Amino acid sequence: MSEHHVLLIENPCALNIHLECLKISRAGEEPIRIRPSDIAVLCLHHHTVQLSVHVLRRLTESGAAILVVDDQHQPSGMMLPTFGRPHATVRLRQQIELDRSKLHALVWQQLVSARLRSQSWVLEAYGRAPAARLARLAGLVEPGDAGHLEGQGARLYWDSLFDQPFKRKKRDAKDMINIHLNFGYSLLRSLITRELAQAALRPELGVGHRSTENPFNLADDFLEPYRFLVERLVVSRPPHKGEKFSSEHRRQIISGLFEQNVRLGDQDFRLPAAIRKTIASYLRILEAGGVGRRRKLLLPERPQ
Amino acid sequence: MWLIAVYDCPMTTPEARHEYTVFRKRLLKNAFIQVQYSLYVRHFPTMAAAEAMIQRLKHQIPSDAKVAFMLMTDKQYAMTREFLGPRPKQQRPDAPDQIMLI
Repeated sequence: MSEHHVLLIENPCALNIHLECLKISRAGEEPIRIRPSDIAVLCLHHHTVQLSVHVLRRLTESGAAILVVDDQHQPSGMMLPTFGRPHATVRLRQQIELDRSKLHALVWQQLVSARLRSQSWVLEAYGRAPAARLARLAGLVEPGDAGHLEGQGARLYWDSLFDQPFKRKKRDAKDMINIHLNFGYSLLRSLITRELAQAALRPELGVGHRSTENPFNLADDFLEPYRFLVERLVVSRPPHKGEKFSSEHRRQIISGLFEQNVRLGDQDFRLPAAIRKTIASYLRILEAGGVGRRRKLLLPERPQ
Repeated sequence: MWLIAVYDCPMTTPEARHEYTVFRKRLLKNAFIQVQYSLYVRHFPTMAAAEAMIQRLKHQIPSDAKVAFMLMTDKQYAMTREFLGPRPKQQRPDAPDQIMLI
């Protein structure tokens, strides 16, 4: 199955299902037809896009995520497939089980360590001083990140990543760098959440993220080791001050993200496949219940 | 990889016409794009996917019809030279990008 198209709708158009394909009609242009099973994410970025419940149903049935974006370019809502749910109860029990056992601390340790390692790669590629320190921190992470090395790492990282003074802002960002980062992360998160939904995992039950207000705790956990892809992209093409966040920028971020290969084990994967592999390794941990050697997550390794 | 479907279908009886319509719709349902009256194309990410499509379609061709499925690499397809009359209506489709900005 080649379910890897990301559709970004940024202009007025009408979506409907015609002969089992999604038909996108725009004024004055030839309609486009795509099989719903080829679509990974449909991102609705314009407020006058017309579509019917039938379209939503067909897309979710074939496993696509639908993302509604607000005027800040942040996702304001997401619709996910609920199929593959026969395992849902079993998975939920396994997730609760993991949450109660000490094993979740070991999973979080791996995620934080991977995050710190990936931060050190990015800094190293740009010759920033704290790269070695971050690499060292990555080796010191304790189960459950008891020493809060993630926070320490983040401070070092954000202070030295950009040439200009920079403050990381998650919400209502006004500066271009934060807007770029937030957009990239939200796309990654939608890819991860979609894979979680297909694996019948509850995204609320996180391993390290345990906010009671965040419905995507688990997605944010798996976001950690993949965030560097977005950051590397933004550092390599830093946005100019006073520029507008145009559709060309968005396109660059998205195609940049999808063009990068992610190394897992000794193989290179495209981004959606890599995320799927990582989540499959988490499922193996859940199923084994931490018995034996099946405790290792498959996480991105140093890019070539 | 591009898969090109060309066919000749008999249209002499109502049954034959019906069979033809069913087949044509089947191509459209599988996201083939009509380039000429009996020439349809679709892009596949891999040769295996194109091969699977041929296997699925080959049992469903109308009786007495002649259908050929041709495989072309992206490079070969790009070498196609196409000429349009003075009032061109449509252009040859491009391979879809992974990211489509609409």
